Amino acid sequence: MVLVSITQSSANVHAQSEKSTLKGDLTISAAASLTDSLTALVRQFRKDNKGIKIHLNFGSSSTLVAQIQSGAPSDILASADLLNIEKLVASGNVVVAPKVFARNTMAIAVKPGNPKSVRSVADLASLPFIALCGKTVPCGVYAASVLTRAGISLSESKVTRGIDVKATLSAVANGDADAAIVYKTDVLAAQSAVGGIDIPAAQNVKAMYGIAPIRGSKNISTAKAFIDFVLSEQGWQILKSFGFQRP
Amino acid sequence: MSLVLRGLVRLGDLTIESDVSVGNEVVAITGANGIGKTSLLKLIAGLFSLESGSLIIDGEVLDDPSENIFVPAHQRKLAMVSQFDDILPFLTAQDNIAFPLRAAGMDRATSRVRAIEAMEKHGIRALAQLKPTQLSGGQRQRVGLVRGLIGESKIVLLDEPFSYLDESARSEVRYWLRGRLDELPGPKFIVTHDRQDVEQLCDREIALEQRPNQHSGLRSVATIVR
Amino acid sequence: MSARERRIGAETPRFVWVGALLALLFLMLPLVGLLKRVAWSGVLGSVTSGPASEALRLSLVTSIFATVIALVFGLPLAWVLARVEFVGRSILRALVMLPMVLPPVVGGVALLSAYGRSNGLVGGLLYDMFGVQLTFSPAGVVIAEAFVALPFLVMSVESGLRSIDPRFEESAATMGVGPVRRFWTVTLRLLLPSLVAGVAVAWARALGEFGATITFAGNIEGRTQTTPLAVYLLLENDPEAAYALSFVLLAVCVVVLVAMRDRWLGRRS
Repeated sequence: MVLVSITQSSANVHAQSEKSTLKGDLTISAAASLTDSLTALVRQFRKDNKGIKIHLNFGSSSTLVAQIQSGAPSDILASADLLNIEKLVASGNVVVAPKVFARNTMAIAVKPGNPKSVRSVADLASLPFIALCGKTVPCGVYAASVLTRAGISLSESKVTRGIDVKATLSAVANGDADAAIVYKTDVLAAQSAVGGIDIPAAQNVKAMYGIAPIRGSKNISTAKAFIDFVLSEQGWQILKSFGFQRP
Repeated sequence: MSLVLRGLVRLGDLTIESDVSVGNEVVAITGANGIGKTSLLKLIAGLFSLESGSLIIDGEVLDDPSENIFVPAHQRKLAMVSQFDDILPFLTAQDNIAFPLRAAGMDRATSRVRAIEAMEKHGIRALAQLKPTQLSGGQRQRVGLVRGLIGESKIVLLDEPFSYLDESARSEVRYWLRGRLDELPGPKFIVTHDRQDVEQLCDREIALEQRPNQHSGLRSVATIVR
Repeated sequence: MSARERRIGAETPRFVWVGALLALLFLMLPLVGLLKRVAWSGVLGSVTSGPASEALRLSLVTSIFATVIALVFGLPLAWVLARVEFVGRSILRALVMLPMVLPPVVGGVALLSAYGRSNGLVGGLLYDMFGVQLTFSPAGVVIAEAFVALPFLVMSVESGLRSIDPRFEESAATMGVGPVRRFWTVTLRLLLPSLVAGVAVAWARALGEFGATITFAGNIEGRTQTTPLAVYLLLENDPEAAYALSFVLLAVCVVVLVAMRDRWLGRRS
């Protein structure tokens, strides 16, 4: 019994000392849909690693990729699709295999109380203005898939394109758009500011979120440690609490 | 009497009191620097109003605060030539001189002809097409003088009209001015420091003098001295 | 050295030259960098087709309308601020300048809270009574652009009005010119350089507006996607088109501003 305790405590001490040696700054570029979840992940990570400062840079995954390719000093990219993170692999900015850490689906956001009685994707065609993400932003690509699968085509003159998913959601929450196609997690995060309509699996997509360290990071070991944390059971529990699904 | 001014006006630290009446004559306004000669002219012009008292010209009350009467400058038929250069910088000399005629409703062509005639009479025809920035201070002043006197005005107010002119130009213009002033009805006022102006041009003289003041500031009183 | 060069003030201290040069470099380097990136052979092509040309057309039309609005309403406001004395005038002046310091997106949110159909103070009424929706419409773009441009015009004109020597207007009054006519024939003419400068700045500001436009009028291709919005989106998938579009906008501005400068802005012979 004594032996076991010693092994356990030494394991803990080992883990403890590993964590406490991590120091420095990390800059994480992350998709806008990860705003709340990643902030929570970072907060938990910092509880155990007080020596680390983390800067979060949220935006549309496509914009973030463009920034990194132009030389923006980022240590990690957390992207809302695999396409964008693959772009970084192709351009040599990412040299390790990206890991999928979460899955998301799309949902329809409507004004609280659903005044226009939107029940399905098909109903979107009868609304005067709806908000979608930009055509090259992951959530815009996903939304286009959803519309195609539902057999709906919308005139571009009725669509206001947000530069990232939060802006798109805001067009419904604060603006005059009657509905938007955004991630389910964003509908959940917005709580009472919007109402949510589910999209059936037959029309919906699986949005795979990828994470990878960026080549040239000044803090590669800390970056890897954070990615490990995101992929850990503890990290997954946090993501789950925000509505993400297991990849 | 053509003009009766009895009253008081306060401009900042300066208080001007006046009790003068003049006929259709050329009146000099004299006094030390800063005593309020220009302000007196502006008062008669209607650029501001009396605080108390009245200004009556040709029997018509132009300014009487107690009766709430104030006729603004543009409705008094007057001509004023300022001490400082106020020729419109964006018009030629000819168009500047034509300006008061245009304001009275004359068409552009006729007003320009009249302006040339006036410039001819005064000897500055050559300056017609020049812009003010191309004229010397003295030339601008002469343009201003011709402009001021071109219309048919009831009252004429000239503020140091020769200040930029040299002695020979002065006598020439003085001669022209006497002739022109004789053609005009109504009272005519000239602010001047020059005794020769007073002797050669003026029938009467109003002097502004400092008087003791119970309150702070300068108290200036205008009275007829000649 | 000619007589002109020997005037006081014509001798510029060295540190002033250095400062001016540095400022010039600071401003010009990014422009030179942009010009280097433009793929000259494709410029006309990428700009005369599709969303890019739509965005250009929309930007030019809306910015002109916005500038006209800024002029029509800004001129009277500038007059009141410059010439009329009343209690609280300096506070009012500060409030009028507010859109200038407000982050544009915040400006857009403010516009929504006034003219938005869903939550706006006035917007809901407009929709219910007249069926007018300003958001997601070109009119909304004009409103957003006018909102940010108006203070610039007011500032320029107000300062111009304050700097006009009253003796010109006084002299015109003594010549029998009534107040309204005085304004048109004397004041306005004297004000012209400040007025034109104000219009130029207001127009440039309207043309470049992004945050308020995208928040209030949205980002609808062909309807409310102005050039700055189009450039932002193009930057990711078609950078060549983005640079080309930026260059065209730049060129239009330069041409107009240079043309105006020569003709109107204080030509002293």
